[in-house]
Amino acid sequence: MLDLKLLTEKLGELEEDDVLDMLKEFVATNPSEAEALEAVAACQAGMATVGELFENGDYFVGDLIFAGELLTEAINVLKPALGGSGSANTGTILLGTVHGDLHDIGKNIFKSMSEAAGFKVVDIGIDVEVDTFVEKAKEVNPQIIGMSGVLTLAIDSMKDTVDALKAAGVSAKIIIGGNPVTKEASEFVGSDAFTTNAAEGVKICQAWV
Amino acid sequence: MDNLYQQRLNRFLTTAAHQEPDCVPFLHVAETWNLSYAGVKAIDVENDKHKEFEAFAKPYEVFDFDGISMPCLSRDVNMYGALGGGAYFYSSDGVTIQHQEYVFMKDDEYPKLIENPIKFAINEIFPRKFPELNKPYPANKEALKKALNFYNSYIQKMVKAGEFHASKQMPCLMGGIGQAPFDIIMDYFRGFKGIMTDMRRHKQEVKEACEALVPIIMASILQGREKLDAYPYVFFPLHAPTFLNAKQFETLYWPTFREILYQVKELGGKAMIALEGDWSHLYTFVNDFPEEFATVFIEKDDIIKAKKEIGDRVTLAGGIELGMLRSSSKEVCVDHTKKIIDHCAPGGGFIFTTDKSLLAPGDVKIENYLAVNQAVHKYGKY
Amino acid sequence: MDENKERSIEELFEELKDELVFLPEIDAVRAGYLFGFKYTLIQ
Repeated sequence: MLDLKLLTEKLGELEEDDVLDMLKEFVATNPSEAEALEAVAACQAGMATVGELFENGDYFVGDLIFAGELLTEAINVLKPALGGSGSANTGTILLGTVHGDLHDIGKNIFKSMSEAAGFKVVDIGIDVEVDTFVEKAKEVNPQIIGMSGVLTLAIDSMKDTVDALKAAGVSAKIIIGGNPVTKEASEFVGSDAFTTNAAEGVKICQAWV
Repeated sequence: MDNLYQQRLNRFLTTAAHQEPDCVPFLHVAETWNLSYAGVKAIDVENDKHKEFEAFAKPYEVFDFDGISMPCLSRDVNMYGALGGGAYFYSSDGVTIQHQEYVFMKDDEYPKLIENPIKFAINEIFPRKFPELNKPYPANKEALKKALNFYNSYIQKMVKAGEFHASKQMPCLMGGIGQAPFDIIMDYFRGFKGIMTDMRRHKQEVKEACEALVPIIMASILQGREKLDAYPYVFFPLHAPTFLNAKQFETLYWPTFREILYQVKELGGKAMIALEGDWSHLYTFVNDFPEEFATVFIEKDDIIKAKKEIGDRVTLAGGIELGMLRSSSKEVCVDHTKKIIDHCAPGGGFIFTTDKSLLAPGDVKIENYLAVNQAVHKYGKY
Repeated sequence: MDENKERSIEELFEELKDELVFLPEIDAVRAGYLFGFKYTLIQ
């Protein structure tokens, strides 16, 4: 029988070998889909621990990256037992790095943490043109749009994108994130929120849905 | 005629000795922003060094800087282009230069990196990175020769650029580049995500690779010299520490980086070290930097707090965020500047500059930057 | 070396070293200069 509490703990501690061993053993017992979903939830709870430790300053970005890797591995191990079903859907986030910027690490950290928190994330990649954001927003109809960027020139692209989204009547909440993002930048861009911290960003999104 | 140059330089040297100069020195940290300020683009100056130098001098015709960090563009995009690859490229605006991360080393290749880093890079990484080197002889040699020609003129450019600014009475503080071994592995071999997982799955190998890189980094700093000058400084941009916790930093990053700092000190050199991101969890180690040795750029840390916690050991360079210079009012910027000077200037050991290098055209509002520049000299008198 | 023979990348650098005519004909000096070039290409 899988010790869910221990699984959450081990994932929170980023003990890769322990987490994967536990899950492999568990999958070998042919668990039901409901049991497998419980294991997924336990892993997600571990990710929440990771987020807390990050916010407390115990974990750093390097740990978040590894946590994202570990969660993906864990879900892959569980996949055969999961059938087709996923976890509960808290809300939809449309996510991309804005035009002119090719960076994706921050975006990907935010993505894995949002998914762990139950969001469906539609990731439209890097260097995303203004028009593409607008088209995708209309198609996906997300509650939240997340824009990422590392370069200072991304701030201009974020503003162009927000202006175009508003002009097109898109009403989703907008959050911007990345190294050059500040309160001043957020006001300039016209976003609803900003963050340089993925864990905080997820919390802001949770408060919106 | 050297009066103004010497006067400016003395402000940096005095404050770095933790004494009070006549006023707080203002350091202009910028690269491609200078080009846009001068009305040119990076691609316009590719074949015209003089135009590039002139552009880098343009801001200080109006601004009152005491020194600049970079005398010219620090990367030659064409050198890598000649080999059909590389990580640097021009942005679509033609003004700024960007870096894109590529990962050419796999996680099972550490033994080769440890055995002989340069040999491994040349024989195994270069063919993956530079398509032109895979062409049959002599086409591959011709490509390498073309790249070497770009390198030759790049080296000449670096020498001449410093002389050019000195002739215009402007000190340029950075005289060479150094790096930390861990950053080399991250930046040029395994990538960000790669190293962040390797330091858990291949901890011992990462350690050994860092050790293998120490002599190579020292050779790159020395450039054939036997001793180093105390000025201009060796510049260390440090990338990974803001993403590492103190334990990871202490075991993997610090031992070999410390070794390099103390070797540079031993050889007579001094350093400007960019503590990129937030280093407030690593001050124990900053306080173990060699004494009377380093000026550190503060990016996201609270500089007033940094003054108290590391300000006796190192000279601090920082003071204002680009975001504030770009989006706030002139009054807010100037008030902030005065507050920072009040807290950081006493006793010396402080240089006023921006938290990040000015790159894109819109990075600062010109009138704000000018007002802050003036305020530093007016309000920052000792 | 045979004109048509393929060279390893290390050999290409060796050939270039002999062509650094603007430097004194001292192996350590030329090797040192070439090291700077190699190191820059690693970046």
